[in-house]
Amino acid sequence: MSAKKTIHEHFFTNGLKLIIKEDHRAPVAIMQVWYKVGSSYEHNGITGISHALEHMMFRGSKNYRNTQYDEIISENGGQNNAFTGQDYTVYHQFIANDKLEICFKLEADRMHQLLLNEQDFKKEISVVMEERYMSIDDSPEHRAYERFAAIAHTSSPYRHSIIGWMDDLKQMTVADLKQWYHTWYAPNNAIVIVVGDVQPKQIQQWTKKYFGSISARSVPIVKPQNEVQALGTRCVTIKVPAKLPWLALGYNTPVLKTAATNKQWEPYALWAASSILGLNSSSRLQKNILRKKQIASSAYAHYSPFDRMNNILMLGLTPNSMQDVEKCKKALLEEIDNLQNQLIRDKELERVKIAWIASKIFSTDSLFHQAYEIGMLECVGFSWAKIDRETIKKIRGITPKQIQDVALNYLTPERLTIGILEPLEIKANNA
Amino acid sequence: MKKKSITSPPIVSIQHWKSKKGMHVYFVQRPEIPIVDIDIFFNAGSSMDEKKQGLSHITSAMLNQGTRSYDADDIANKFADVGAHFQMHSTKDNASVSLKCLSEKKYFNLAFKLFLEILYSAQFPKTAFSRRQKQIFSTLQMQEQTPSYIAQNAFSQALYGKHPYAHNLCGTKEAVMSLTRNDAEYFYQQYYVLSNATLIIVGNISRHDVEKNVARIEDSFPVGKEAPITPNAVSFRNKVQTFIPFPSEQTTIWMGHLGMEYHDPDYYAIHIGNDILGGSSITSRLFKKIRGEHGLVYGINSAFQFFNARGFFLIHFATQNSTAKKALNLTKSILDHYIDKGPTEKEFLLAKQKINHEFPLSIATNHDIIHYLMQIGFYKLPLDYIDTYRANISAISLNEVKTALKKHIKPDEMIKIIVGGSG
Repeated sequence: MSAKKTIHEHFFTNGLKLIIKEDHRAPVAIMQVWYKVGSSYEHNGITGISHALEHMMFRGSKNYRNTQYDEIISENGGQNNAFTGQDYTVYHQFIANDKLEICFKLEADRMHQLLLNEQDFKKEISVVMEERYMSIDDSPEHRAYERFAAIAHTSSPYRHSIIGWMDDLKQMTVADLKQWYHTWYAPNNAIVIVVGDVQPKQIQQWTKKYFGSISARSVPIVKPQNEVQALGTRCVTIKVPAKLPWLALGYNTPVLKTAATNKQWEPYALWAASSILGLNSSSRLQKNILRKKQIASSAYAHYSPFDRMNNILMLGLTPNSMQDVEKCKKALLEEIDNLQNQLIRDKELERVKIAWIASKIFSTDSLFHQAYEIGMLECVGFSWAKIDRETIKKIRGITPKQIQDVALNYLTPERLTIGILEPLEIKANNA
Repeated sequence: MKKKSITSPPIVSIQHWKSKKGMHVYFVQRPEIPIVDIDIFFNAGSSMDEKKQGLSHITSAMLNQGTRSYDADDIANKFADVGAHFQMHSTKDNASVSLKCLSEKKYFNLAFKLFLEILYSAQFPKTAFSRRQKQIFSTLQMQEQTPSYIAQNAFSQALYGKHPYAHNLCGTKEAVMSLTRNDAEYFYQQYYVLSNATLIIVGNISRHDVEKNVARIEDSFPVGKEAPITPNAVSFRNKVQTFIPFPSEQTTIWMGHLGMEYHDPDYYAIHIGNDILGGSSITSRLFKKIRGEHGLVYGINSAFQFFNARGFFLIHFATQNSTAKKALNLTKSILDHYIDKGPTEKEFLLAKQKINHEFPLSIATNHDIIHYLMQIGFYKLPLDYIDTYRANISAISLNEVKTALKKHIKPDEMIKIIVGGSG
């Protein structure tokens, strides 16, 4: 599969890392610049600052003022955007391969000489607040999830949302952003990824030419900020105007990054446990709760082995009505109980293994996704190439006993948080 | 749509033929990654619902709920056994089933066999049907708590009136609960037939194997009749402004009117014209002014949506309740001025350059190719649509854009739906 593709890695003297993956199906390329900073690097009072800075990166740098950045990319027929995660901030351009050079010029300029003008900031922070209203405050389920996450994590910075608390956005200043920018935006804290129909030598030359002269800067050592030990089940009810309830169960779980050397299998087993519960329509929540009991209309499970810090394994349900919430909770706990008490059958385990392999192959159709997988891993300190080789073996090696073990050790009442969205009547004036 | 012919080799080599029993087949071979995608589009969208609103949607949602030999659990397990994704989807115009599968024979053969079984022997079991009814009921509740869905449904209703495009494709709660499995089975027998199907195959598979698979589809599948043609939409209402109070931080605004058909001679001119107004997002006039200069919205765009029987032109955005009036007035003044004067020469040239340069981006992946084949196959665009696209854009003059904008966008005849905390 993807291993046949040619991968090239280079380090530059200023600490910048470049990764190139060739894909010659079409005369196009994607370039992504990843910075190792995101919402989990933020402390209370400045939540949302990584994302606000991401917005300001489109407001001009020394040699490309105002909206020139977007205009130049657009004139060249490129598409550009950015996104902020818990563990990274990413800028990306998708463009015809013969127009790629301009992206290097633009990205290099804003890596070290961003303008951060006061007037622009006022407008842009207002855009960010509109984004927050749209994506969280006016969406019952997202609003409930935000409050749920703030309870499920006690000391970990994963407790606040990427976009940040509204009050922090209101208090944010351009001086805060300047400091954040100068702290984290440096070549030695960035990774450039190019996937597409490109000549690696050429890409290497452009990277050197445009990024090579940017000086390395000392970047703070990131403290581990390990989540404190969970001491018992936490429950949170979120009452907002809505028609449908929502129920979430989250368990504090380790990830690959924090797992001990002899327990590197655990995150993969947790991934398998989560997938057996709620990966697709053959999974247990879909089969037992949606189809057999018919008490909810949708269900999912989520866990990622690759986050920077301990995170949660989460189960989410949309119960049919408030009357079904208790039944749904009971049904979910029964599913956890089953994982702990009965070894899963090989056939069921095989399904999640083939799902992993197939989804890896399916994702190679997208250039964006290929670059994303590399960046996401590199940004939390893994070697993408190494993980890519090892993961398939690790996944194939998961046993029913291992799944039972992680279910017994981690899917426990002590580690559990329960969130319930309780709908209030939608009345026009209770905004 | 205009037509330019070109002689250079095709960007995507599309193989198209009519099968023995008359089904249109569109095939693109892509050996680079070991995946095969198979999509069948039936002329069986919600515009065929007639009096039974939501029938097309629930019929499509029932396909993986039981066949002659398997129940819903078996079907889910069997696709999962080979890592295949099977999906059903429905729109105003069509209902489709799609299979994404690893191309390796041991996986593909099992997935394709089940795909066939679903196509020709879906069973619509009673218990599964009532479960789907409840799920769609929940979907409709979800829409009732989401301002953008409230706006979308009201917009569609105001725009199309009594036309079959007017209603929500999920139906209403009452309509969905009154449907029966027999309704769905009848709809399926009538419309999920060869004469009403367009088959698209993209991926790592040979022409020979595609032909074998087409033959298998034909062997098991009734020929049937073509669905009736959806009557063309005529303006139901215009200049309507509806305010729907809702307890949200933002006011959501949808504004627009009936649009054009794919085959309109102004297709390319209006694409350029709309790109400058609000189609290109980040560099468009609406985005630059309302987000960039005023910071009033996270997103704003304008688009022509195409359907078989006339789609619509739409501008939509959301802004804090207190700035809704300001944003609406700004939008209106940008629109008025733009339609009156048209783009500048510079904007026009840049837009053409941009559209042509970015065209290769839209056709880089298998997924993109399926999207184009759907338009070519289902909406009957010319087979050389992809190859002639850039030449057709290049041939448009500034005057043609100005004329097309005046003809197809009428700022004073818009329907406006306003959902939120401010009238």
